[in-house]
Amino acid sequence: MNATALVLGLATAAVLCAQTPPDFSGVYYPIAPFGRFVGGPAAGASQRQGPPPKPTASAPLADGSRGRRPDEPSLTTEYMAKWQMISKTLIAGSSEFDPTAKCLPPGMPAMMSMFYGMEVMQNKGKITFFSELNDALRRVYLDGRKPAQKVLDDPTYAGYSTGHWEGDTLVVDTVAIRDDTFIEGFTPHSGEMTVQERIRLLSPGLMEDKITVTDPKALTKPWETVKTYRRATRESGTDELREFACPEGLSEAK
Amino acid sequence: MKLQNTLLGLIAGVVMLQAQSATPDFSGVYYPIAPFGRFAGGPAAGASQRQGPPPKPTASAPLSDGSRGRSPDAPSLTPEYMAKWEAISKTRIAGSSEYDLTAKCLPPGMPAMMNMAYGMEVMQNKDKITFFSELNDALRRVYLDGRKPSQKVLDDPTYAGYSMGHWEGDTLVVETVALRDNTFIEGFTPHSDQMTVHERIRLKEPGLLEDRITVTDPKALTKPWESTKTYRKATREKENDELREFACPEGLGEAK
Repeated sequence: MNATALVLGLATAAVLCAQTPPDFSGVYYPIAPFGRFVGGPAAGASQRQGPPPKPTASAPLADGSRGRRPDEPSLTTEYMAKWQMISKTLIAGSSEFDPTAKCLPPGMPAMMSMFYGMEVMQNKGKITFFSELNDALRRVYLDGRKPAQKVLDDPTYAGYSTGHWEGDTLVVDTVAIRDDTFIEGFTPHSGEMTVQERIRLLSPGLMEDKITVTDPKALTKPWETVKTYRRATRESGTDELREFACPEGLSEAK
Repeated sequence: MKLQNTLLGLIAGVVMLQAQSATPDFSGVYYPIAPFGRFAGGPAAGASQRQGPPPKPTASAPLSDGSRGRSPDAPSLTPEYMAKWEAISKTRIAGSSEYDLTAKCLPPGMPAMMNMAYGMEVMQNKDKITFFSELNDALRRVYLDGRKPSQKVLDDPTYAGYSMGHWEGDTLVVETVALRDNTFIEGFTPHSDQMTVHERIRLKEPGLLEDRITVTDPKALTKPWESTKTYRKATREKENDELREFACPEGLGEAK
């Protein structure tokens, strides 16, 4: 009888425990960071003859010289013209529009799409995502706060993120993002872009981020993408990110 | 009786949960108290201009270019490293930031990064504690899971170095190795690649974090240098608990 009561009490404590959200803390690496190129030429395929394919064909080249992939964000006329202008500078070999080449943070949502490591730290009030590329920190506030007007008036690369738990899924809204970053690749966006994410553990050590980007000025429809990341283990020897210190290269280049 | 036992069970469960988090939680955003130290010997604010030649080294040093010598509580340098310091001081007096890492948007490095006038954001879990310096967006990790640096890490020093910590009661004891030799201990006091940093970090009271730092460097220092920093935790009510992205290279791009 006493034992039953003890078990009951422990069970209550276990339920209290179960209500705590999952812990995303750890070092992660993206799986297939560049996506799957369904339309691209197979590795080792013979060189393509004739003119480059029209836009909306597959685009395995990062400078956009083969146009845009069908799964890339669908741009309004104004922002397609911006993209074409940026593409020209990239084809010409310029990194004028590339923030990461200037050691600047990749910005949201591109920073969730990088092929470098990502370090997550989490507590009850906050979760932080640290991008190994260019040492960029992103904070998601979980304590119900909202951005001050001062924050909204002063956008940043990472933006201002607020999140809440829906069961085991972290739902995050990001606003106040600078308009000179890219959605992915070098797809431009406006100052009205917002990012919604649903982050969860698909299985232990496998994190999924379902990203929806909305931008009434730059996008003809919201753009959706799903990223997955595998957690590094201590045994693999890959769970220690190294300091990037990007400006080292800048001072050498001067 | 039955109720009593249920309560007993509940208490046992809660105690088990509590035991998992017996160590103090340093998480939060902090600002240093008196980041530049207390200059006991310096001229009072508003004092009349000093006449005559600049004072000898070891006098008080309120000027950051070293033109008034070194503060008596600055690290005690060997002749070789005092000569280095003087060389760097000359470039600073001449207006150069050649040796100033932070002016190049590089991380301040350890232990200087614990000594900055900007905010510091701490995140903590069982295995790791991170210190993020608002100045130049620099992250420092302290591993708490008993790991040691690999040879690869030791051969490839960083600004923040490699830090390992363990709890002694409510105090976090941290050892930092594998530090680059082109950073400064504080101000622009140079050091060698043999420098190691020992810290004892604790909450003096809720919201008041103390870091007792001991820097050892057999090549650059005549004796270990000790310094104590205190930081006050920001609160949501004061609206100063959100650090802003620094993005230092923005300024570099403009300067080009």
